[in-house]
Amino acid sequence: MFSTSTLHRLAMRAYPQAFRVRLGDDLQDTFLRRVSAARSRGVIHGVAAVSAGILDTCVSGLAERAADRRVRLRHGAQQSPSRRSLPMTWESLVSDVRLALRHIRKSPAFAAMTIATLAVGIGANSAIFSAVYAALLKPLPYAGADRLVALWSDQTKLADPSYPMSPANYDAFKRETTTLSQVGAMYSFLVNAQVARDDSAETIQVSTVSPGMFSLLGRQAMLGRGLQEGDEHNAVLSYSYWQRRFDGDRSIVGKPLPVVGAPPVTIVGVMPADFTFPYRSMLGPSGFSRAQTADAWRLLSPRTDTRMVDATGQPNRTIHYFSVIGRLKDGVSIAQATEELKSLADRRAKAFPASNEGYGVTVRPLLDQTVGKIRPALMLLTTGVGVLLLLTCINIANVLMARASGRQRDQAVRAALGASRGRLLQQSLIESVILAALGGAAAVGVVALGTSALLAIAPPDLPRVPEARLSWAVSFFIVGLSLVVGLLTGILPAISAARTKPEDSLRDSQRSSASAKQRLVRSVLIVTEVTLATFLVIGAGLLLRSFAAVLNVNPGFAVDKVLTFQISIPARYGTLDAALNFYDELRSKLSALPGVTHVGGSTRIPLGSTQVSTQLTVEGRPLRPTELPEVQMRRAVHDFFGTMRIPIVEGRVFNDSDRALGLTERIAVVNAALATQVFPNESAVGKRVQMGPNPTPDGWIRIIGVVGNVKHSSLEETPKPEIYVSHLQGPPVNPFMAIRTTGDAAALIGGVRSVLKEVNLTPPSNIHTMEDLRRESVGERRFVLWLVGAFGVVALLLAGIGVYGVISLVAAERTSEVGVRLALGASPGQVWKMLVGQAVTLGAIGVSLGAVGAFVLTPLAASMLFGVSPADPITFVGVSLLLIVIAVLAAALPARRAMKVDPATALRS
Amino acid sequence: MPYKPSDALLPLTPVAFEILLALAEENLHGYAILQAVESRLEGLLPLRTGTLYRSLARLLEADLIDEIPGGDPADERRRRYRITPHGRKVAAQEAARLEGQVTAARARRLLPARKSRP
Repeated sequence: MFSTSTLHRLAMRAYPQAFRVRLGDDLQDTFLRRVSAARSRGVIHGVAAVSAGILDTCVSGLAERAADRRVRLRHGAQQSPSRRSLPMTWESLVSDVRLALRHIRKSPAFAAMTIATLAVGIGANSAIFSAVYAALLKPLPYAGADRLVALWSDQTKLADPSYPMSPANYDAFKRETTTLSQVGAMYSFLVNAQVARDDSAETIQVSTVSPGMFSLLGRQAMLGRGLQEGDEHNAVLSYSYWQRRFDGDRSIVGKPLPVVGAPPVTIVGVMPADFTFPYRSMLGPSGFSRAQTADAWRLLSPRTDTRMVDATGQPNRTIHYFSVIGRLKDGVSIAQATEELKSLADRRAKAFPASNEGYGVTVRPLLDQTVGKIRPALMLLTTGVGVLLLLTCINIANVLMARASGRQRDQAVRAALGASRGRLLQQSLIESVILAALGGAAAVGVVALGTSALLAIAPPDLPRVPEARLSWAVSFFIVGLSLVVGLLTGILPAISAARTKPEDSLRDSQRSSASAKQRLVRSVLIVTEVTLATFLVIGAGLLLRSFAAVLNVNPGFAVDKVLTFQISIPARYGTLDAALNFYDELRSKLSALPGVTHVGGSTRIPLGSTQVSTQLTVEGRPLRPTELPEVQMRRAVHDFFGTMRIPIVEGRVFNDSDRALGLTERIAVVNAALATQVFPNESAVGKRVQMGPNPTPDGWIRIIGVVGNVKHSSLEETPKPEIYVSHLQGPPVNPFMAIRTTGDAAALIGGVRSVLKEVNLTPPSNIHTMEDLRRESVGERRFVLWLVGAFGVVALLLAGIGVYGVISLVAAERTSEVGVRLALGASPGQVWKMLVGQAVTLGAIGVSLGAVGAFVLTPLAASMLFGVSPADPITFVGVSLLLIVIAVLAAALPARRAMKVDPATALRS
Repeated sequence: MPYKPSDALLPLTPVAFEILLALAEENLHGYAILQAVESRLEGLLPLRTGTLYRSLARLLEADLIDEIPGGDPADERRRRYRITPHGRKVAAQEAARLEGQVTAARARRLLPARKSRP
């Protein structure tokens, strides 16, 4: 415990320092005497005297402080010499700000460089923060968004916890849950719709949602109303589509939306501009389109979607195509909801083992569902740009320290004239905070530029990132960061300034060299810089190696010289023969385009469209529906395998003569993954299969060949089992066509458009070269690599500048020492070795620390790596050598200068 | 310390005047001043230590009292204070001022007529 005496001494801190210096001891003495006199009269008296005395000291002390300030304000600088100049008073702040501004004005070049560097550092951080804020921190654009959850089937057989839900499960959860206040469903994919425009048509993306969806999300239409029961033939438009297509016509409600080949649709509402729903990442993996947002919403209803109920009129248990969203009741946690829904799912699995076994439930916050996948990338970018800012701070602190030692005499004079340590500290900190504040102000411009640059290079499929803006949150971030940076860069120089002793002003400071302590601080800064740079560049190196590994992946087909586009076959080709004749006409016209060698197509294009899976029944293997293999199904048009150069592994692929088979003998081609998974140890060719769980006697499909695997969803995936059926036995209405040419694929775009016009088709959608598709498929990786790579390069530069600066200082300080050495017969080479050796030693320590740090931390970013170990020796050794080389190069220049010192001059100076 | 005419300091605060009264009798250290004032007033003016020292600081600044160099031979932490000639003059002026006030009060019968002390 504190003694009475200590407590009173503490209380005396309330008095101004000058007062304490003069009368403190006496006051303490009187207080103690009073207390001991009181104690002699009894314990109660003693305690009363102690507490009253201490309280009195506090109150009088504060009163004295206030009076002291009034006196000083009145008399300005006329202070008694015994009263030292103290920090944290208004006058001292004002005068220090003035002094700092004077310093800044006196060296405009230094100030401009520092402010510019800080602006870039703070600006880059804030730009990344604006993306992080938009994606991860800002609430989703729905009311009470933190109570919203995404519900999925936890498909244990496929190890897929985010499997779309069947209408029956959705229905059961909605009816029976007690932990969710509302539950809504939508198709787990967007649907293409053709809307007539002038004399042609455009493709829009439609999300199909259950009647209560908008009220579940807590959002209302901006014009008109949302969708409700009975709105089967109505639609609600998104703000952007309303602007794009109808120029924001406010009388649009009640007018028709001219959907091609469908019953008339009436527009009943327009949603607000900030309403985005669903984000692509809220949907499942299936569907044709990779579009990010919906242009319009239609109603999910068993009246227009017959698949929602089965033959007995009950909600369908076997087709899984719903994305489900729920709202937690107040006071219910995710864990409670998960527990409840899991037990519901278990009960259903026992009640309907044929359809529900292996289907659990996953409950996930809707925000996680939306941006969970890009969180690691954004955290990586935040780390990278943060490390960069630290490096910037260290470099600036270094320069400020060098300047501070140049001002040592100045500081000593101030100390001798009565500036307290705190006052010197304050003055130095104020200068760095002002620099940082100016840097922060300039950073606002950098953020605006940086954010638009970021969005320009960001792949469009990053959810929510395109919503990044210079918002209030970002502005607060800039202000806060500037303050932190100001203190961070200022603290070391400030401490060294505050250490100045008054007597230093009397010494001849011309010859002053850094104290051992300052030298140590500088060494620590250099080591820290090299450590951070090594860490960052190793990260960038691993990402680069991953990117190279991804690009080296063989997608299973030839990417070059192929153009793909999606077409829509009009309803007028309704019969099999009409459709096949049309496909033949299309092929002959496309083949006639210059340079075209192959024409093909498929309902799914690798790297360019989504997947749709189905269950496969194998002849002679009666299995329960839940035990059937899940395979990806697509239709092949014409010479798809030839066009894509997908190799034939066994048997044959489709050809024109198969048209003679009609629909009597159905045939299919499977990929190698399906062949090995479903038919291990035997040949798949000749086996008969059917799609779906309920085989019919004449529905068997004979496998005629096996082709190579292709990477469909991404270059990084493990190929899934796939089955192709021929367009000759079921022509698709919305296929992706692919044409191979001998020349530049992009050059064919004009020709394709005119061919489609000739055959009276609407213009193609999703027109891309295969090379573009591959580039887009690695877009996120390229984006992250670009940024982290750029951070890495800047980090190398900053570390180099840091080493250069410090070795220059050391060389300058040791000039006379070098002169003595040279005079005593040391060779210039030895001097060079000494200085460069110092840089290499510091560099090596930094490199080792950085490498160890990277070794410990890179496994955290393992999800960002591909085809390379987090401890990749090539990267670690390469980067370490690179950093050492940079340290040598940065030290070589000042060392060369020192080597050429004339001993006589050095000794005289 | 800038020169100030002695009457510029008037009126003194009651505490300052009491301190000067105590020091006019003999040189004292802080605690002794406290005791002297308290015994003279017999508890009419309970003097707080903080008030005493703030007053001492003002009196030192105004050069009405000063510290005796060398302090208390018994305890070097303790300082002893003495009244300066300037302080004596100011205290006398304050006493005269108060006497004038008291005389005026008597003339208006706020106080009984002067009696000789018993």
